Amino acid sequence: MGIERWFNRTLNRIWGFVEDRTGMPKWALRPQPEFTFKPSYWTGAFVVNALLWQVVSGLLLLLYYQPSVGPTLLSCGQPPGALSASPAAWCSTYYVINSVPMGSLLLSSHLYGAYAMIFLAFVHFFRGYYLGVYKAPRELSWMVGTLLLLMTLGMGFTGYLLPYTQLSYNATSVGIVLALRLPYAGPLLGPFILGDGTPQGLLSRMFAAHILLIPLALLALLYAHIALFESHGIAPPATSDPLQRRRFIAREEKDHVPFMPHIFFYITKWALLYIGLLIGIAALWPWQLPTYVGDLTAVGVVTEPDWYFLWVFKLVDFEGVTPVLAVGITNVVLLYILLLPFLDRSKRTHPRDRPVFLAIGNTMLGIFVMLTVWGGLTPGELILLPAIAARLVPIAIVNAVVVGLFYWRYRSSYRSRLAARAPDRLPGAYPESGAAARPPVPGGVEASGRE
Amino acid sequence: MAGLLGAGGLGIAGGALQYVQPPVVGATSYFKTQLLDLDGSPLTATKVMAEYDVLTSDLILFNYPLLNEPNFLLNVAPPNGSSGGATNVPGGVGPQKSIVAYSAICQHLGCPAPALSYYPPGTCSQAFNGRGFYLHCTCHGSTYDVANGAANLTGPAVLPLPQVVLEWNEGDDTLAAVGMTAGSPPVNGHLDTLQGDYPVGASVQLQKQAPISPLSCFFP
Repeated sequence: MGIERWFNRTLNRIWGFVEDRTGMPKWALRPQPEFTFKPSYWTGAFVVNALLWQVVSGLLLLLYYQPSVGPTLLSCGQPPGALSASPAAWCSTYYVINSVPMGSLLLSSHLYGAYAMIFLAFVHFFRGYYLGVYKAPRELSWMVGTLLLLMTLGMGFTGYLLPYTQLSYNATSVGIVLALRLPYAGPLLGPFILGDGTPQGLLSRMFAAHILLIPLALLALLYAHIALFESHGIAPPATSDPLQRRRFIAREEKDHVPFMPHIFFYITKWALLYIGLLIGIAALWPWQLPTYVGDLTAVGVVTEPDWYFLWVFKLVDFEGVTPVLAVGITNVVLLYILLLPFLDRSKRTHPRDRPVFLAIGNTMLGIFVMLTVWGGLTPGELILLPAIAARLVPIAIVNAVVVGLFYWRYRSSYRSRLAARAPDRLPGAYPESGAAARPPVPGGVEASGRE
Repeated sequence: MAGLLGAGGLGIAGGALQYVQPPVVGATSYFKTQLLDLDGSPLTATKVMAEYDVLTSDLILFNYPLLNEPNFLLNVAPPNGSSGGATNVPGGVGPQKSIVAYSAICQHLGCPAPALSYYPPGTCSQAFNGRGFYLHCTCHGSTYDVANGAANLTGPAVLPLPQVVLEWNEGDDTLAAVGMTAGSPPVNGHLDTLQGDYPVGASVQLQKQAPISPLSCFFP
């Protein structure tokens, strides 16, 4: 008993000293309302968890990786003391997998962790899209987030070349040719991407970008993203009633849970679950290293990117889609996402009140999934116009019709409910009183979507 | 004062940009490169005619003019005493003017051999312009006419493959690469065929590579 008291008191004194001299309690992030403690409110935190694992596993991999296309004495299948036939980049990857204790687990978890991070970033993005979290005052947060998504994809692109397999080399060439083919920008950017143009120059640049340049940009943007989150707090639940947002903010002020230790432990719980799952999957299904660049015995090397770029890859397969057009389409989608807060200006955040953007989001998601699966099943097969039309147009039409009918039904029922209530009880809910009297447009996506 | 700082800043930025864009490596003009056989001995047209023909499915590659610019060496003449194939093709050398060399990097998006592979007659049922043998890229399906300057047979590529100018020395029967055909597009992935890696030098050895397997016959 005495020892326990002594121990606790000493611990408290030490911790008290640390807290006092560092001012640590002030480091805590913003408290959050109690009802936000469900996973759907913390999709951003999951991406950060995934990022942390990528940093840790990436730094460990960096201890072994040799970013060179020349031969090396490292052991990767050749007799001891002989130079490798494979490039050092590939050879050191082979060495990590086969000779470093638990290296296969480390490398596989880094790769699968990248997949998971990109997937979680997409989940975070689409959640925000559907629940309208980009609306005032969080426009900048959304734009910074879009850039973060871009950086995450950039990490994926640059990391893909590093094992220096024939597959990753071919796919990276495709990406670079796409950039070089751009009018004006291509010849201008070319020397910056290619360096002196040698394979070593390219590998060095991809390596520098993957381990330093993009991570620095990513961390800076992440800081901005979290700082903006600290300023505005968590986005209120999606609602049709702007007043409800104000009520939510008032409630958030009093009914909150502190960051330390509650939120911290809550996120840590998810982080540990994530790492456990990731390591489990990496242990059960370790990544198999494909053959190296320049392997003359290689057969059956298909060229395809990882799943998150398959949709661009499939886009280039389409009849009439030139590389320039494919990059153009990608940039239009990107600009749309970036400027979304300034396109969707209504005050209501619930998806049912934003039929146009609901339909566009569904179509984007549908086409993304469709192209990814399609690209995975038939990489590099030319797709003719009728087949494109038969698969992509229905996605857009069905979405437009379903969302339109849904909105039409919702508006009529909501109008009757509104009429039943006294309008002055809901000031600001539907500021334009004429809107209720306007006849609903059948399939009225275009007519009434911008409210 | 501000102007001085601005000038200094611009100078530093300019200096940093120079590091970002290092001196390009490459050659200033085309040069003669002797072709060496798989065993390192000088390659002769007689050997090519005897060992390779239009039915050869293995890919015979050599780099020219730069180390990262692989090319196919093809003999499109039929095997001795049989028909098929083609002779007297544009840019062809050798006794039947049937030995040609094309860039082994697809002009669409830069997929190299063996993704870009040679399809001997009879591999696929399709014929384009009466041609049953061609180079076909499994990345996105571009097809090139090996007997007509690697012109496009099917898209999505719009440019022909760059063709290497071969020189046949009838005196000692050797083969050499001396340049690229005038009007050839740059090798894909390069802003200029002569820039982007180190030159191969005075001689270069052939390499043999298995074609992509299985050869897919998906054509539009």
